[in-house]
This record gives sequence, C-alpha cells and structure tokens, in this order.
Amino acid sequence: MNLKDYELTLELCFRCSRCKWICDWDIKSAESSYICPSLKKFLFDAYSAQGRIDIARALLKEELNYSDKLLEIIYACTLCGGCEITCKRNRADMEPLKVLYELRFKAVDDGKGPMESHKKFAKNVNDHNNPYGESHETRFKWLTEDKRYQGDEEIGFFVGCTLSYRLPNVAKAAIGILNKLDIRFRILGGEEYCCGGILYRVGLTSKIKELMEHNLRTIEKLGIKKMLFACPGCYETFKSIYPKIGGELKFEVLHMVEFLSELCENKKIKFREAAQQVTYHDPCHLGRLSGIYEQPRKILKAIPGLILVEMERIMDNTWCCGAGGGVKAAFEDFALWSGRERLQEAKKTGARLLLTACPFCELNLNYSAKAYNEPIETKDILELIYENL
Amino acid sequence: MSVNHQGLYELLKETVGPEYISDDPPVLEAYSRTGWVLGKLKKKRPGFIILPGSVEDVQVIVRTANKYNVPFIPIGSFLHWSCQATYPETIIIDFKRMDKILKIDEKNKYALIEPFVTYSQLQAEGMKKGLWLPVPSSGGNTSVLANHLFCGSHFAMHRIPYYARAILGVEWVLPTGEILKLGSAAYGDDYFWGEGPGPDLKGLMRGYIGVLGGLGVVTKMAVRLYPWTGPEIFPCRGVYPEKIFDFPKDFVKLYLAIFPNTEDAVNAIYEICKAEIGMSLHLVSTAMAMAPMAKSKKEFIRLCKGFKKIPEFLLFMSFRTSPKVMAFEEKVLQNIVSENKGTFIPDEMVSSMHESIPETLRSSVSMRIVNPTGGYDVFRSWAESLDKLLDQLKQAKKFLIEKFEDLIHFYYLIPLELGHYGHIELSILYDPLTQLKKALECQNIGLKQDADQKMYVTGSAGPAHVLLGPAYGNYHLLLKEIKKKIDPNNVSNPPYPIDVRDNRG
Amino acid sequence: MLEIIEGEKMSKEIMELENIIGKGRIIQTPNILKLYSIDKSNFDPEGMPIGIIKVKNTIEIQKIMKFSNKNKISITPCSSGVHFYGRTIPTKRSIVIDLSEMNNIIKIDERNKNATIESGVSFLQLENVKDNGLLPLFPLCPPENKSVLTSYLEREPILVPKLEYYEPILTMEVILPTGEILRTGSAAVMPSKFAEYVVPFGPGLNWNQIFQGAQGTLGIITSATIKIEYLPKQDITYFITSDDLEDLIEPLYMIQRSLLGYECLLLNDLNLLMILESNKSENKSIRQKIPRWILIICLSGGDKLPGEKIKQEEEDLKDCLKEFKIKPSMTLGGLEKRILSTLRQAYKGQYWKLKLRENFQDIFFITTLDKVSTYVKIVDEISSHLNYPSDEIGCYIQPLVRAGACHIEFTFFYDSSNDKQTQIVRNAYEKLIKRLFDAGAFFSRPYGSIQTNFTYQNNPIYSKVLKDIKEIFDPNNIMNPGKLCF
Repeated sequence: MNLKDYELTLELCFRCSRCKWICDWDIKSAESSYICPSLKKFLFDAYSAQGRIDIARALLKEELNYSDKLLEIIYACTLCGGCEITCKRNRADMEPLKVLYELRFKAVDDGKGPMESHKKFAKNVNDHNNPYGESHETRFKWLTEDKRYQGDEEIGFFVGCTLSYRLPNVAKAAIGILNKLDIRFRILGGEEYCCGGILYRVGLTSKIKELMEHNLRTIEKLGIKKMLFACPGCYETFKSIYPKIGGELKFEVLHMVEFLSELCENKKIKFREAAQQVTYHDPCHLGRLSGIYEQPRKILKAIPGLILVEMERIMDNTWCCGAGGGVKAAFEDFALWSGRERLQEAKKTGARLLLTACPFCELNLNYSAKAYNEPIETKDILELIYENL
Repeated sequence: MSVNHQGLYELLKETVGPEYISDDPPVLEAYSRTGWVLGKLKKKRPGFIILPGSVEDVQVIVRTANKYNVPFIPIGSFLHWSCQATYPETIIIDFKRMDKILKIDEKNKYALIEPFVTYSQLQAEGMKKGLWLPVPSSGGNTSVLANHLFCGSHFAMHRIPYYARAILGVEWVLPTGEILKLGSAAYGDDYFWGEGPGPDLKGLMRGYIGVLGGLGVVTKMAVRLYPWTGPEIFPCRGVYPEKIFDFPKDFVKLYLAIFPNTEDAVNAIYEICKAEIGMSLHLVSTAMAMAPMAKSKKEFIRLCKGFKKIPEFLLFMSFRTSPKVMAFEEKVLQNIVSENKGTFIPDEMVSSMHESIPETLRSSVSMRIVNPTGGYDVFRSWAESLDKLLDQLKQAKKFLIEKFEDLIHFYYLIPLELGHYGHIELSILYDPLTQLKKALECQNIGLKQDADQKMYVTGSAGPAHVLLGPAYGNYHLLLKEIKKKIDPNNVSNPPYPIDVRDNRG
Repeated sequence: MLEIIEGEKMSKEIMELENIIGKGRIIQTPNILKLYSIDKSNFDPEGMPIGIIKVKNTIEIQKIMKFSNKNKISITPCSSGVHFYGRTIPTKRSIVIDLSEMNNIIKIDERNKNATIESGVSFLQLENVKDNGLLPLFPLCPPENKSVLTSYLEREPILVPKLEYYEPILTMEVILPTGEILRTGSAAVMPSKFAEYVVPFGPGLNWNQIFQGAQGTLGIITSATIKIEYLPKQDITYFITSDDLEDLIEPLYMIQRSLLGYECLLLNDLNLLMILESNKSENKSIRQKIPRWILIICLSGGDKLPGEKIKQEEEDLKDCLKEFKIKPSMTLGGLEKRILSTLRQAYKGQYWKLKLRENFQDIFFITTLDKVSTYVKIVDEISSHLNYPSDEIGCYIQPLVRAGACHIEFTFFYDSSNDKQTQIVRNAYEKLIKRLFDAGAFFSRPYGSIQTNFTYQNNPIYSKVLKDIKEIFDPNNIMNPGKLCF
C-alpha cells in the first residue's frame, strides 16, 4: 500500500473538521473539546488530519514541494489516532490515520524524512538495538535478584526499551506483580531487541522488518504462547504493525492490564486497601489504537478504597500525552505542552495522582509537570498495583 | 498603495506575531478547497493565513487589506466554498485564537461568544445552566458565529426560529476597519438584544443566507439560547463504534408516520403546526433519512433496505418541557396522523433510527450524507408556503428523473415558525471522481430554472444573485450599492455577497 | 442634503405635482395641515407640512416619490389617524403622504396563517379575522384606528412572548424614494405561481429588518403580508399580583422558561384600570382593592384537545410556581372577565392613555427583567423629586421572546393646557431619558430629538452606517428628514 491507494480518503474528505474535535456527544465542556494536540498547539488547519490529507493530495499531484515546513507538519503529529476515531464515527470508509502514516513513508521514500532527531535514534537502534543509544548489554541491569523469572515457560514478558532504560521501576513492578501472583514467566534477556515501532512511526519501514524478524524468531524459538507487555508502544507494534508488514504472530499478545484484569474478574487478585483518589489517562496505543479501555478501570475498581475520578476526555476521546509518533524526539516543546494540557485536565478532577499504563506517557507527563510546575504526579498503574498487592 | 507579498507578510506579522501568520505553501494548501462541487472545482491557495487574537488585531488586518487593496476572508470552520480564495494574495482570517464563550446569561437565555466557539461547545456549557441551542445541519463542530451568520437550517426549525432570529448584540469590524456594534451593544457592553437602535442594521448581515464575509468581520456575537430540561451532561457511554446514548426515556421521543401520498403528509404537517406541538418535524424521503445515519456506503444500503417500499415519511420529535407535555403531544399527534390517513411506522423500524436522536441533538449527522457515493451537494433549496414547496418539489423531481437519472436525489421539507412558511432542500449524491462536472451542470440548470419560473431560492450567493436578481425585482442592484458603500475597496471576501467589479485578474 | 424650497418655487412645484396626481389632491387647508403638524405626546416642536396627499395606490405613490425626489421635496409618510411619538411630525417642510385610505385587507390565508394588508389597515379592521378563526398579533390595546403595519414596522411589542419568532412581518412592498419598488422576502418573485410571498428573509439581505424602525426615512411601505395566529378555542386567564414588583420577576422568568401560556404581560394598577375602566371615580375605589402590580398569564388551547392542553398547562403553571409559594389566581377584583377580551382587540373609543389627562408622554426601552425594578425605582425617584406623583405613572412590562428581554414602558399624563403640569412632565421626561440612558436602558426605537441625540451621538459608527444606507435608498434625503440621525 502507498499514498495512492488512499485516493478515496484524499478525494472524499469533505473538510467537515470533525477530525479536530472529540466526539460531539462526549463534549462536556468547551475547554476539553479538542482531540488533536497538533492542531490545538499549532492552530493552522494544516496541522490537522484534514490539512494533512490536503497536503498528501497536493504532494501526490506534485502541486507541493518538500520544505522544512512541510516536514514539520508531517512530523508534528503524535499519531494518536484521535482523528481516526472521530472521522470514522461518521465516515467509516475513510482512513485518515493511514494517510498520516503513508505521508511519512512517502517522505522517507522520497529521501526527505524523517527528522534529524529521528535519524539519530534510528542509528541507535541499528547500533545498540534501542533508540536511546544505551549499551545493549545493560538492557537488563535493573533486574535485581529478588525478581524471579524462569526459563521454559509459555508466558513471556517483553520489557521494551523504555522500561529497560528509562523506567526500570515499572519493569520491576510488572515482574514483582507476576512474582507476587506466583505466575511463572520468562523474559527474552539479551535476545530482546527494540520492537521497532518508533522507526515505523517515523516512516522508517525497512529496519523494523529486521527487528520484527529477530524478535518473532526468538519468541517462537522459546516456545512462548502468551507474550505480556507493559509498554503499549511495543504492544501495539506486535499486535498491529507486525502483521501489517508481514509478520505472523504464533502467540497471544496481551498488555499487563488485560492479563491482570482477567485475574481480577476471576477473583485471583486480592488488593490491600488504598484510600486515595486517582485519575486515569488512556495511552493512545493501548486505548484508541488497541481498544483496551475497560481493563485498567476494572483493576482500579477492584482496589478497595481507591476512588477513580475520570477526566472529561477519556477512552476513545483521550487527549494524547504528546509523546508519540516521534514528537518527543523532534518537538520537545510540543510534547511538553500537550502533556501540560492533560495535567491540567487531570487536576480538574481533584485527584493528585494520575495513573497511566504507558512508560512514554508517564515520562512525558512527569517531564511536563516539572517543566510547568504542575503539582500532580504521574505513575504507572502497575506500580500502584504492585504497591497494593 | 501597493506592497509586494513579502512586504505584506511583514506587516501582518507585525500585527499578530510570527507564530500566528503563515504563507507557507503546505499551510495554505490546507485552506484551498472544500468538499462541495464548487469547492472542488475552484480549489485555490490563499496568500496568507492569519490568526488574530483580538478585535484590535482584526481591525489592523482589515485596515492593512484596505490600504493595499488585498482581499480578506473571515472563516469559521471553512466548510463552505465561499471561504476559498478567489483572488491572489487573499488573507484568510482564521479565528482559532478567538474561541471564548465570554458569557452565558442563564436568566435571560443568551450567550456571548467569540468567532471560534462551536455549537457542541456552547451546547455543552449551556446545558449545565439549563439552556441549549439546536445544532445546525453543518455539524456540532462548526462555528456558532459563522453559521448563525451564514445559514440557519437546524432540525428544530419547526419550533425554534431560524438562526437569523437568534442573533442578538453584535460586534462587527466593518471592511474599513471601524467597529460597528448592533442592538443593545450599540452603546455599552450589554449584548442581550439585537435590534436597532432605529433601523436594524442586522438586516445587512444576512438574508435567507449570509453575506459570506462580504461586508466585514463579526468578532463577537450574542446568540439566543433555549430552555433545556434534560441532563446537564450529554448522556452517553461506550466507545466507538459502540457508543450509546442514555437520555431519560421520557425526555425525547421519535415518531415516524407514513401517508398514502405527499399531499396527505403535508396536510398533517399543517395540522401539527396548527396544534403547535413537537420540537422537530420533517417530511423526509427515506434515502435522506437513512444517509445521515449510515456510517458507510454498506450501512446506507442496509438501512434503506429496511425501509423498502416507503419512499418518504413524517418524522416528528417531541421534547419534554414537562412530563405532561409529552403525553399531550403524543395524543394530538395520533389524532392528526389518523385524521390524515396516516399510520405510524412500527416501533422496531423506529428503533433502527434511534441513534438519530442524539446525533440530531448534539452533533448533526450531516456529513454522513456523503457516505453513499462520496459526493453530496444541495441541488436546490427553496422557501415558501408548504403547499407551494410541494409544487416546486414535484416539478424538480421530475426534472432530475428525466435529465439526471444517474444522480441519486433526496429531499426534506421542514415547516418553519410553526408553519408560517417552510423550507425544502433537494440534494444530489454523485461520484466525485467521475460525476463532478455533471453535478455542477445539474445545479446550474436548476438555478436557471428557478429564475425562469420564479421560485424563491434560499441559498443564493455571489453569481447566483446576478442570475436571480432580474427575476426578483432587481434586488441585486441595491445589494451591489450596499457592497460598494460598506466595502468601498472591495476587499471583504470579493465577490461576495455580490460581484461589484472584477479588475483583480 | 435637502435644500429648502420656499415661496413661489414651492407653489410651482405643488402645481406640477397636482398635474401629475390630479387636481385638488393636495390638501393645503390650514386647519388640516395643523392636524398633521403635531401629535398627542411629543415635546418636539410642531412642524407644519406644506400639503397632505391621501394616496390611493402604489402607482400614485411612485409618481409622487419620483417627482419629489427629482425636485427634492421632502416626504413624511403616515398611516394611522393617531400619532404619539413625533414620528409623523414633519421636521422640515414636507408633503405628508397619508396612507390611511389604502386600507384594504388584500388576502386572508387561514391555512398559512397570514394576511396581506395595505398600510392603512387598522387594528379595528384586522380584528375581524377572528371570524375566520384567526387572531392578529396585538400590541397592548392599540387605538382602534392605529395602522397595523406602522405598529409592526415600529417594532411595538406583541403580547405573546411564546412566539420566539416574534417579528410579525413576512414580506413587504416598499416604494423607494426613487419611485422603484422593492419587494422583500419571497415577495421579490411576484408574480409567481410558485409563491404565496410568505418568506421574510432575503433576497440577498434581510430588507425587512432595515425598514423596521426606520420611521419612514427609507421608503414607503404600501402593503405587507403579516403573520396571524390561530384564535385559541379555549382560554383561562391567571393573575399573580403583588405590591412589590420584585416578587413577580422570578415567577415570570420561570413561567416563560417553562414555555407556558399565550399572552403574558405585567401591568401596574393604573394602566390596568385605565385599560378596563372608563370612569375615573370608579378607578379610585377599585384601585384600592388590587395590588400595585399584576402579572397576567393566559393559558390557551387550540384546535386539538384544547381542554386537555389547558389542564396540562394549569398543572404545570401551579407546579412551576410552587417554589415561590405562589398560587395563581383566576380572579382580580371583578375585573378578570374583561381582561382577555380587551387584550385581544383594538381599543375602542377614547384611547386608554388619554383617559387620565388630555396628553401623555411615554418612555419605553428594552431591558432584561432582572433590571426592571431598578428602572422603576429610578423613575419613581426622579418623578417624585420633580413633584410628579409616582402613583400617576403608568407602567407596562412586556416579556419578549420567552423573557429573554422585556419592553418596559412608563407613561406620564398631563394636560397640555396646564403649563405647570406640562413643564413637570417635560422636565421628568428630559431628566429620565438621560438618567435611564446612563443606567443602561436600551432605546431600540428612539423617538424625538432627545432620545435620538443620546442614541446616535453615543454611537457614531452606527449613525455613519445608517447614513450610508440612507444615501443608497434616499440619495436626496427626501424621506422624513430630521428623524433619527438623518
């Protein structure tokens, strides 16, 4: 598939602008009614799905040339999928998110994309199997002896680069939970490579195939039947991107919250009382792009004393934290700004703890809190679960 | 005075700051077309997009445009083709920074808004205070101010007036840059009333439709809101595509009725208007009712099949102002339908239209209308007494069937102001990849016929005024004089509302 | 601008005009001219016209307009036999075009709820549509010979706030000063087999709105199609009363928010008694029995199940007043029976505002209900200070468009033969206009020089645009010059 294959979407966009707003039914206040962080931040329509569709059409028809501004517009988008939901709600035959991806693929194919910072982490993945440029050997250095994992198990846990190198506490919490619940599982160890999702999202489709092949081969070789993830980026890459680029998954893919919510339903988890008020941020890769909305909420509701107060934009209407789609690397200010918008919405609930289920969201929201001095902490739901088991 | 592109850019940049002005081709491209027939055929990039932050910014932009004889276009959500540039170097004024609801007066039932407030936003804030306003067919995400100025069709026109009547105090930057304030805002900051003082200059803002930014820029508007007895938050749950709404059962009720022929249906409408019941009342062709409910082409075909052999039906929606009202209205409606040889469509068929209730109340399903073929446009739209509209409809349908049988057509007829007159829209669906020119030809022939046969067209703008004017008592000549007087340099979105000269090349 | 034509030249012009419209058609009898030089209530100076023409039809008006425009003779149009606000007093030497004899009801359309009438049609004539099961939209007890179109063009409030589409005019025929005809709304297509000329908007602009409130300065409206409503089949009138106006405001808001009732208005005791009673001494005794403020709300049932409709509204009315601990009453000191019938007709015989004294002076403006008490206090204070008795001020409050706003009207009474009285009212009027203006009163239809000066001097841009429009319609400023800001 390439951009030309989406001619109908390009030609049939009516410019109704629904891609800019959350579903009308769900609008609870004027303040929290935008869905597209890119548009809200940059204001010009070019920074919306509608604008990018117009740009894609013009590019295809060679009515537009590449420029720095054009690349900025293509890449200043978190690929959060908000536009996809609100467009399809009325026009199911449209494919705005695919157009956003195809624009990036085309930019790379045409030798213009991605952004410089993206090229840097592509090199890092190439050299070190992770986008952060950290040594591959230190990927699991956080793993302390008190964390148990076994070999030869059918359940696997794919830790991912961000948890491994940036948020080991969440990785520890995930493993701690499995340990406390007495669930036997294994990790990939030195054979765990970057999932490659971030490369794909910035349009670098060739390298991801290599990574996919390595990861899938490893998993199959180990006989894993059920692979758990704590990072929705990796999770969505496995679940949605790999099959798109020819990967065949011979195992089940589950985010930890799916796995744990089933245990909750079957009353196999007992929580300690945790009397506090929290709110929950749906990560885009887990929520809108994978349909996992209810499971984290079920877990939170099972914790005695915990009060979940929802923000105005939740589930399919969630406001993106701002980190996705390569934005964090290329447009730091935009990512922090988007995070602040979310923090302010969270603050309105009265909660002082914002939970999420994604290391990217957690990192970005906490960076935003620091940058803008917002008095609210963001934490991964797995950490809360671990603390209260 | 003359200035080159870069010079103008610098001047505009100085007004709003570098981050709120752009002349980058990809940015301009996003403001180059709309989805309508004309929108597609007349695609053109403007010269600049500018985002003013205040009325003072707007004044400077407008004065600059005047000084250098450059056109400007104020836009809302840029849904209509009149937002597209006609001339080179056109400055598009995008109001995303002026998006505040400045006031909701709960007691006196109005809101004061800036240009970029949408219907859904205002409705959401109004509902918290027991107030609401109907959303237009252009969608809940369109600008209240722009659409109140431009159009006015909404689902409740049977009861709640056309938006033209809901405009109260106004702040208006004239094409020369001066600020005109209308109604009670004329002296002071109270926007609660719209008329006067003396001759009501609101008459210059719009006719049946608006002047399309051709007479300046409205920067602030008070709009009337209506009592709302429903929940404070629009009640729905679930996620796409399984979102469901949870209105209290006795809050809103939908009835569909069929009649042996259109005349009987229209008689029933007259009776309903006479009885002054209901919030919404439409006579719709089945395809028209189904298109806005179908999220895809496939769904459209499936829904239409469910209603086969029913070419049109009466759609009546009752709203709770008190529980007793609902019961009374149901009784009267039953009485009227049976007196006019009608029957109600069984409940199970009505339930297939259930989603149309929340869509109608909050979002308006209009864009789904494009789904069956990908291309949609209004073929003809008239207003007159309901009886006369019926005559017009018959004639136009015959024409379409004879001359353009491969274009799907459908219509709705709606009484306005409890039946004092009515409005009808006959629309066409076409394949935009292959039938664009045909759709345009069909519209053009239709408009000429309207002029020849002296039917009262509602959606006239620009060239249509020139075509219709001679048949309509030469009103277009006065309109031209007004355009020349109010916009002496012809910079406010020429050629709207009417072309007064064409020397820009 | 108009050059004043005097003396011989004028006589020559008059003769020429007579040649066009017919000998003897221009009335120049001093006694008759005098009648048109003043009206009943305005403190503006009298203005003697140079002639009166009682026009018969559109063509005749076109001829007069063309001639006047060419010769720069000013024209003051009038339609009613009675005038109160100075609108028809020529401020420059003018020919008065009297439309009172163009008084045909051209068409009554029951199915589409409208009537087409000429400008001279009075409320007395129009109320006959009741025979067709229809009810005109009445302002508060208009004089019987008041022109319906003048009332609507001047945006006099109607008694029914439930009609959110409050403008009664659908389409109009306007003769412009150039003699050309402009037909508004869908009347623009006239003649057409596809139209009944009932759409008020367009073509192009909303011309109706431009001509409304223009006080005859932009053109002459010869006929119009107007909205008429169905005459309810059954009615019940309720009253809520209090000596304190403030007690009635919140209930009134609530009634209107609940979309209840048909006619709904608030009067003070003096106005009510003047409307209902003819005998001044009788007034005094009844006045002692009724509270100072009376909210009138009429519940009506139409063609279908009227009894049930009224029952439903009665229950809802009582429910919505519960929170105020108010029970609406169906009686009002014996006056109740006559109220609704009086409100639904033209006022017969001597106009009610002329019953207390020979002259009256109104001050009215638009505001919101939550502010009316403030304005009432201002008016009471200033008039008392100037020795005008506050119990002799009539007050009428008309909620508009479901109480989104209201029209408030204060009436002062005086005998013009009594200099002292006249001076007191004049003083009160002048002081109040300024004071009310400062307090935010919106004079949406300013009459007389004091009001227009305040209005337009405070908004030069509005005046400028009005003048621009005026110049398009009336380049020689022949239409009623001196009015508004022209």
